[in-house]
Amino acid sequence: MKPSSVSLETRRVFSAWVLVSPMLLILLFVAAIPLVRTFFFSFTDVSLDDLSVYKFVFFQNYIDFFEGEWYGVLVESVWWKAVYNTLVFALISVVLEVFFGLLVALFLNVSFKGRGLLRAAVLIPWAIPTIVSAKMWAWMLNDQFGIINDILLKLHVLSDPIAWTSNYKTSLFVIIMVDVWKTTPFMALLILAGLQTLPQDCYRAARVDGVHPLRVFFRVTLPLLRPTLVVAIIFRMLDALRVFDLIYVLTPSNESTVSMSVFARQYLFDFDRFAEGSAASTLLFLTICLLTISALRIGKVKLG
Amino acid sequence: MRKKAILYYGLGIFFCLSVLLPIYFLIVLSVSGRDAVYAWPKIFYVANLDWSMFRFFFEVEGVTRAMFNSVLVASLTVVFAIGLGTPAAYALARYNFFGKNFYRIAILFTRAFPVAILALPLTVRFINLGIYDTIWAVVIVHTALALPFSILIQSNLFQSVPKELEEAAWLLGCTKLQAFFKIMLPICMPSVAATAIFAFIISWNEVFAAAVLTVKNRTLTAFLISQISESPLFFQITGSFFLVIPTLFFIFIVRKYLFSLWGITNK
Repeated sequence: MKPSSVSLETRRVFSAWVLVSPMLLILLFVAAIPLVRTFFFSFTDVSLDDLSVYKFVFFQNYIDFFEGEWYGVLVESVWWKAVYNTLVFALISVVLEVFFGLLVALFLNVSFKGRGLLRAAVLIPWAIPTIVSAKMWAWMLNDQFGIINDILLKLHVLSDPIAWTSNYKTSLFVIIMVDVWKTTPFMALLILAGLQTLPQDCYRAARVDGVHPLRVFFRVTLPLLRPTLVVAIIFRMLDALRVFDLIYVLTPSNESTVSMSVFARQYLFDFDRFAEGSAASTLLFLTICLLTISALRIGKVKLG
Repeated sequence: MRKKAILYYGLGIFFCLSVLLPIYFLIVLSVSGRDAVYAWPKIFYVANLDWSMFRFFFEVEGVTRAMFNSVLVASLTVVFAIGLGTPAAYALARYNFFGKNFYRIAILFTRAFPVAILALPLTVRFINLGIYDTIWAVVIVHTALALPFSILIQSNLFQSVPKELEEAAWLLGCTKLQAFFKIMLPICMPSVAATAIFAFIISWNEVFAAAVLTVKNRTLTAFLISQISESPLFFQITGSFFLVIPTLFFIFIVRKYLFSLWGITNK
């Protein structure tokens, strides 16, 4: 082996590290270290008063049997309610967002007059801060002076105003609806950007052969679009599974919409049960990792 | 053909209405005076213009500063998300080094934790570093939030550019850095611009980290959420108005770049 070839290889690895390390440092500092600390605390009996005083309790925060009773996050009924809510929310909102996003993207991919403006207009909900859209919807859905009740009453759809955000039957549905309103544009944007990179010859060939447009969609567009779709779904799923802002503003302290993030945050900082909150955070993280990895496997997509 | 056009314009109008109506109501409300917020039956258009809520809003201490901070933080986040993300994305796309695939997944998983949970432990750290309650603390956290997206999108993009283009530049005497700036970046510019816009929006939208990490130097979103429990509804509505209007302008200015996210268009 010639010495020069070794040094070239070393130099390449070295420059790669120079390029990557600033980014790794930031992510290590902001995300990885707090994460590892949370894992660590979930096996201790630490409390928020003094984070330097603790002893190890192993899995007691997760599950524990003491004097004939079960304790720990895993036997809390609210935790399982939170898991259920989070999964229902993530599943329904992501499915709806992909469906509507695809619809909007296909629509905006056809050329017609005013398309540029419409593309921009459709994106607006995505760009508005979540607290604003949540506040706006909270006001529109208010039972006493909300505009939605007003319209539905005038149209005789309702006979009495509904307290959309506090009624346990409608609150989760409302959260999903507002999320779909807010995030469909993001989906549409990712999909539309993907549609624009598809090779046009396939479409020309299909047109020459006189293939039905629906068939073209299922046989050409969807398969070609799959990598884009999988990336979009994964990004969206990660966000949906840790949903917090929307619930925090729209339905605060409402048990029927509590999500895993909301549960963890309440235990960590509001209920003074820091160790159990850490356990809940750890479970949340593991759930998200597991679902994301399976999505990557099922989608057979290579990241980046 | 005519039936098709009607269908298209119908759909277009439907999409527009569903998106714009809530925002329309918000705007109507914020220029109709404070009683309109609670009025019943509701008003659907501006009957008499009333700017009193705006005047009140700007008289509240810290509002103008918070608006300025929001823009500053978002701009700095763009600088860092691109400045740190682009080189990293390039390395992930073009170099082979130990642990590369692990990093890709790890970068993605930094998004798996809600900011609301991460923000409090970070507070302690930032106090120790002496940057608590400065915009830098917020910028660092927002950069970390924007980086995963910035890196994964851009590394996808760099991979889609043929290696031969760069190799030709090297053969003709360009250094690697020159080749990157003269060949790679011009080809990828539209997508990099789109990524920058994403970073800006992520920062402009984020509220919980900003609310926890600052006391006096708040961004506008953080300022509003800290007021949400104490302030009257009409104040929140006006505040929302001032978060929405810049966003509208911003989207219309940058709309050209947004759809080139995945690379060069062939239309």
